[in-house]
Amino acid sequence: MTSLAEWNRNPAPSPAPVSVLDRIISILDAVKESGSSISITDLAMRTGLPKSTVSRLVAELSGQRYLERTDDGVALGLRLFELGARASLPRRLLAAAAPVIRNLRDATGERVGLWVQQGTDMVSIAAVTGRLPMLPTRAGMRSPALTTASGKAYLAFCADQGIVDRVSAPLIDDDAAHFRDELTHVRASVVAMDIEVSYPGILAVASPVLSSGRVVLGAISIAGPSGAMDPDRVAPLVRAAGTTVGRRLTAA
Amino acid sequence: MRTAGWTDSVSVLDRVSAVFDAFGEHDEGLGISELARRANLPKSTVSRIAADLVCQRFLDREGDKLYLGVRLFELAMTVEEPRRLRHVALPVMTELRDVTGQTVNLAVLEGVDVVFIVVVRGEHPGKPLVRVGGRLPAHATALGKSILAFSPHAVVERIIEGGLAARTAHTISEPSVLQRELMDVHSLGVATEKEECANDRVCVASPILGPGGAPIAAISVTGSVSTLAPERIAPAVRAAATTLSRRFDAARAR
Repeated sequence: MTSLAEWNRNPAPSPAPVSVLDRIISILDAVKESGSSISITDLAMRTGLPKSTVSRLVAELSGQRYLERTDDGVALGLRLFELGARASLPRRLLAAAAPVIRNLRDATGERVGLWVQQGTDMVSIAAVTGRLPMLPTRAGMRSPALTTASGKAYLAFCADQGIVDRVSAPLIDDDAAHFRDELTHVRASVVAMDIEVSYPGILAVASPVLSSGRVVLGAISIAGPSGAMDPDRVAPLVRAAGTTVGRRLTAA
Repeated sequence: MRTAGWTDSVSVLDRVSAVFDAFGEHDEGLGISELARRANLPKSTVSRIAADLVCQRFLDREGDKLYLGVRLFELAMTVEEPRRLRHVALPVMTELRDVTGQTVNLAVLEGVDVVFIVVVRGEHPGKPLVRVGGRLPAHATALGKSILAFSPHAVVERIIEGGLAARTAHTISEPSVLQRELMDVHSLGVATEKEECANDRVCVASPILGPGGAPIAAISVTGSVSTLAPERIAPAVRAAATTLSRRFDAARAR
């Protein structure tokens, strides 16, 4: 059985970034993945950059408040909060979805989440806890797009084949064909399911959020204990929720 | 082709910051030309930086407009202090909203401004003056005044040196008046803002204090002149701030 910790593990270390911007980003990511505070030595190890380079960039990032010095190293700074809280897509999606998320949570008692795609993952915009207390639930958290219901709901409607290819790159032969079939099925039913694949004992159902121009912006999902939550019963509710968020986005 | 200047790290971060800061509070999308104008950088430079940032999703592109991106949101949600403040404060803030029906805010002091960390919207909020992640000048807000009243002298001096710019006819822009008001706020434990920041906006705030009595943040209730009577709401705001001071203390002790 795969543990939650393994599913949420850090991506495999990639070669040290070359451009200054990539180096800055790799430092921010490494600080983020550390959970709170990280030392310069650990940062150098995680990013594959020389310690002197890390030191210099950290000094600069701290000077501009992207990072903040702590007793045992550096942590993410308030400037990132100020910038990221103003990010447009999450804010618009959240404004449109907030009442819909609450209704779906009240109607089912299960965990409801709102997601956007990023790289090969889905990033949580909002999460309301249900009867699954053991699931990590917070905005900013990532889940793999390949296996999760929200990821498949997004990919099925994603017009950018490059994104779909990158996410499904690990699949070969039969698995790849099966995944394509599954996305075709999701396009027809407008719901995607994840039956205990991403997390043991947990099943999830998701539906895409589409703009008025039929561009997929994100996905809304519901997750509950397998055996207790009936995916076919919640599917119409999730589909309706996705449609409502899309309509509210257009109206806003 | 990247120029020598581009590879210099100082200028890269400075330029990226200039691009980020060009985006306003109300998430309007910007085209490259507008972005270049606001960032005060050549269009070719901005266009190159923007392409890199879009690629990394630090900016999102929709049509020919650019927006602050999902990756920034992801980092933002991970920043520890706001996350901790929100986690502890949200239940108390929601209760205060339910009791008053008005919008409840939590903000921290940052430089000469307050930065909004949590906003729980009231029953009939109009267009919000500021949203989560946004800033307002400390001296013109109840939130700022409540924090300053409990801050060291040097912090208040820095604000005064900032110039106390007037936002409305009611903004306190005289240093001596501000200092007198801060003394009153200190003895009352509550600061009031009557159209000092924006017309028809009233706000009552109280500081959340750490163990040594230093302010961590402030909580406030905001409404319009006709719907919010500051003196009636002040006890509830002060009580909420006291509760939060205790809860942060307890959260730290654990």
